[in-house]
Amino acid sequence: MPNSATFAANSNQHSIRVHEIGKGSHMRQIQFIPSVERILRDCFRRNWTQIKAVTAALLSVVFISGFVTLLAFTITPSVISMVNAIIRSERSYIAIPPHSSEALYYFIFSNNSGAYWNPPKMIVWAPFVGLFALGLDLVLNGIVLGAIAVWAGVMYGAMYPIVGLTPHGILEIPAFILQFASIIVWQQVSIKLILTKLGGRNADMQEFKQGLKDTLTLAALSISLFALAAWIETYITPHLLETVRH
Amino acid sequence: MMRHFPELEYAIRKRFESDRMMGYIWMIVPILPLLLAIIGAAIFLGFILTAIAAGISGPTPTAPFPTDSMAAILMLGWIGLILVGFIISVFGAVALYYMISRRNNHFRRQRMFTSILLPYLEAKLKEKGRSSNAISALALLNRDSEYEETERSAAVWAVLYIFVSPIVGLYIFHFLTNDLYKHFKRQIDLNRNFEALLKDLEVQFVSPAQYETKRRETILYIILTIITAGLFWIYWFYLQLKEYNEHFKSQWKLEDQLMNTLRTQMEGLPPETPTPALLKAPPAPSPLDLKYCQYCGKAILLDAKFCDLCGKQQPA
Repeated sequence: MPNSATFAANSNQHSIRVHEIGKGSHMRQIQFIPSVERILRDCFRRNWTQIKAVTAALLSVVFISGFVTLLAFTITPSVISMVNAIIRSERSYIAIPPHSSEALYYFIFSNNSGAYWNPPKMIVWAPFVGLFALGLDLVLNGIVLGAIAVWAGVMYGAMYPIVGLTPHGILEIPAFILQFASIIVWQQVSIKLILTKLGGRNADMQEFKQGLKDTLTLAALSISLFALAAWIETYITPHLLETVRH
Repeated sequence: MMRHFPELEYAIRKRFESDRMMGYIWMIVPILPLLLAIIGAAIFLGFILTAIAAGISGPTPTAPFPTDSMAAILMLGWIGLILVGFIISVFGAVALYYMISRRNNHFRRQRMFTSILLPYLEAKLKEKGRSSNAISALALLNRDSEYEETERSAAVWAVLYIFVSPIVGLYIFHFLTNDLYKHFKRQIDLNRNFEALLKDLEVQFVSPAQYETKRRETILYIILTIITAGLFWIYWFYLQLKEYNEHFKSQWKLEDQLMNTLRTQMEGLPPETPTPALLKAPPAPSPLDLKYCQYCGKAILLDAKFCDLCGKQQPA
């Protein structure tokens, strides 16, 4: 039978526990953060090869594209004015909302995060066939990024692309990489499932479900990063560029 | 000295022919097409841009070159592209031929080595009046390798690669990667059983740490190669060169250690220090020391019990 001191200690512990549970949403929040961190860490560990490969490929294409653009500009300087004309004509086709406006934020965010959710581009989700469309997109994105960075540097000085691209690019490029990685994970598990079924073997559904979860986790993380990057690009980058111009 | 021992030494000498080390100079095979594609794209872009710039600079659009010579340039460029593509494919085919044949030869030599080592150790067990459970496990593993590690025709795959390069190249890398991993796992089992068998013979032997061949998801590697427009293939090619080379080196180390143990503890011979003399390539045998395999017709040493090519046992 417990003595009075033990009883007091027990009731004290009980009251602390009740008090902690009573904190409600705060406690749930505390438990939620480590679990999100754990989910992300596990997801990254499982798909590290995909992330590394996409990063290396994208950076290589950006570098090569930048180098070729610089070479073209050096050999034939008349190309610069031609590129200017192309960019001007493109701006007349696309109605870009004004700087630092909410409309611009939504324009950038929906353009980036919904890149693979609009009907013509949803082909990238089709097992195997989509790989070629995704590959083409990765190469094109890299080429455009490298060429634009060099063009901006040539036109407005070396600081311009650094200030204009780095603040939001530091989030936007990883977001693009995660978006590509999420589609690669989906392609990997779906192709594996199809091949296993075609071979008449039993498919590992656990692995498929895990792949599906990873696809969604990486996609969700990339969307969050796109949201932040779009905010920086809308409200911070224009001010920084103004400073550089003056 | 038991008659199996020289045969074991012979099986080890064969590694200078079978386990071909491929240098990293072969990396030129995946890098060259990429470099040429970049140069080709830059020339094409320059050509188009010059044409457009010349066209828009004057009041009336003009072609930068006479139309006839433009057609000739385009035609020559097209022929040149096909020619360069063919030469690159041939380079690739040679590399893949070596990769597949070294895989075949290494697997075959391994089987031959185990097939000679097993009866040798069995005879030693009998001589000492002992028994070991590891014998049956080893025999099973060796039979399993005969069934699993089938020959792949290096020439056929190399020729196919010239005509359908990307698809065939990816498939070749798929089986080279998977086969090495399965072979490595089997090798680990063999080593464990050899250790147990030698322990039953009261011989102290611990196999040295093997270079670990990792399990690689080849479907993912194929996907990444397609998505990165072939850039990932450079890395995969590097892995293929490295992993086979490292596997051979680690296998040689194990064989040398095992042979030294057998020499000193079983045959009562002095150890070969610091590394066995076998590391030096042996002189080519005289034609008088040769006979022909009864099954495939390959020239083999007169005292060989197994054929180097088909691996079949030769009648006494």
